[in-house]
Amino acid sequence: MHALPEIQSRFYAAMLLPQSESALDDLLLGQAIKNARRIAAYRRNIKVNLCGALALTYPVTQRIVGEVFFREAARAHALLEPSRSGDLNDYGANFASFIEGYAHAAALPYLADVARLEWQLQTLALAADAEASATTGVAPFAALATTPPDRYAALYFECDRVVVRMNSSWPLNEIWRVNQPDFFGDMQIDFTQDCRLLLWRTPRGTQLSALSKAEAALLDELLAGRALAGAVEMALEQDADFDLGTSLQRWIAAGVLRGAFFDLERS
Amino acid sequence: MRSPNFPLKLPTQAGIGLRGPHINEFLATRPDIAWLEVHSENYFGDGGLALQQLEQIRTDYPLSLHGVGLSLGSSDPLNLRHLIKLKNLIASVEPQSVSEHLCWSSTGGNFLNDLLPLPYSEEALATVCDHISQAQEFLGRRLLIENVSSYLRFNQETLTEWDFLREVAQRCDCDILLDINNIYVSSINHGFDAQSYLAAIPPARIAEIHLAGHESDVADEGDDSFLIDTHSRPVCDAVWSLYADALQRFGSRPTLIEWDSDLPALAVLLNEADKAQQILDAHTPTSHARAA
Repeated sequence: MHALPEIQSRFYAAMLLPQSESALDDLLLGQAIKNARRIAAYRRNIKVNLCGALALTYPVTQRIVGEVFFREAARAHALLEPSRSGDLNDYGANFASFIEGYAHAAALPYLADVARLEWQLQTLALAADAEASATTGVAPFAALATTPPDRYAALYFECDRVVVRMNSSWPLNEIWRVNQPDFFGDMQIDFTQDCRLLLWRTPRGTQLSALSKAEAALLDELLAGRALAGAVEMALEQDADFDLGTSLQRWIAAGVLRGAFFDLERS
Repeated sequence: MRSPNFPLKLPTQAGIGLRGPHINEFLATRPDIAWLEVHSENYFGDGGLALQQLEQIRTDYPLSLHGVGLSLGSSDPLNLRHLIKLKNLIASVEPQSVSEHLCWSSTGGNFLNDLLPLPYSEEALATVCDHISQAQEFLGRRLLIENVSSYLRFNQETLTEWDFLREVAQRCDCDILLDINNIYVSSINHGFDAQSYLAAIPPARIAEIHLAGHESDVADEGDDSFLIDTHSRPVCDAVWSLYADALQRFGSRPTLIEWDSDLPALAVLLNEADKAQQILDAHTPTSHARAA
């Protein structure tokens, strides 16, 4: 007599381990030879489900390596990183780390960062919606317009919370761009370039954009809730010609900066 | 908030399972379909576009939340995080119906994310009944439990699948989501009579019917072909016929067309629902019943 926990743990192992079609013979009714093909059907379905879930989360990674390579990587990954949730959207959180240690992907040293970016995009897509802006009124940026630059030490921005900043030593934004399904053109990329990215969400979905060093320095300060004066100082350290007005306009238009407020007490 | 006239339960008409690739087209065209079913887990995010789209959908269409990941038949305890997400989703979209499967998919905290067969033993019955009762209590509502298709049977089974399903419904006071395609697939795979299955199910428990397509795994040699529940094809003639038999026995029920892989155009799915609706209409006692 086999208890349910034993049946289920042996069934589980037989689904993932290679050449395990006969491992359940003593548990099953019917001819072993017939059952082997039926076990294979379950194994196939599970593999397709897990690989399909990864492919949905990591479409660019799959596009770069091709479907056959991706399927093999997904199979190896499934053995090391079991699914821990009944929700397949949770599956594959550590795929980037897996790729880092995956010998077959060693020739593509940027691939792990691509996967890291895709996991961040998925996480962002499912993140809680931002609360209504605290900077009420018809002109949320009135404080920006009325505050002279010498008082920027007390000027703060209310920022979208549904954003992610990430840096890479690879030109991730370019790799991303030329691997979109609708991209048509020159696929040449200068792999010596690094990048700084901002990921955010609009009503149409997730967006990503590369930032200059100065712009990244500015946004890192503002997103951390620090005053504009210090943020500008950090940006100018990166680039003496940094154009603050253009940059603020860009991120206000994108909805990442949602309002400005003057707060003498916080400075 | 919903209009006070919005129905509290699924209409006794044909609906479709709405999947991600069809959602934009569905929202743009608002097809004439009586109700919709979505997979609960696809809306477990905390926010974002998918939930906003579901919110738009549920204001205009009766909605069924159909879970695939609760793993009710596992010897593991129920996953509390999963239950909390489901409870929050139910509170936010106020579905007409919430359903799950009579199967398991996890052990030792690891998931295979598939609808795996239970041994139909007293032990498994006790386990799954405990879990269904716990889930119903936690969610504060009755669940519909669906029979799954299977390719394997265990050697220590003491109950038939239909007795197991009926016992579950009676012990847990839950409803049954009867999948006609799954009955057909399993009847071929295990050589039982689908009519015996139908005859054993108490009609009052059946709150919804599923229809879907399957594929055949054809053996290179010998007689070992079997059916795989792929949800990748139109409903086959034998399943339509079994569906008509079921309606004859049980009366009309809300009926769903499921299609999950090799998705066809939305119009094809709606056309399958029309076919189900015609069979429903033929079993509806008076033509006024639908409008009522």
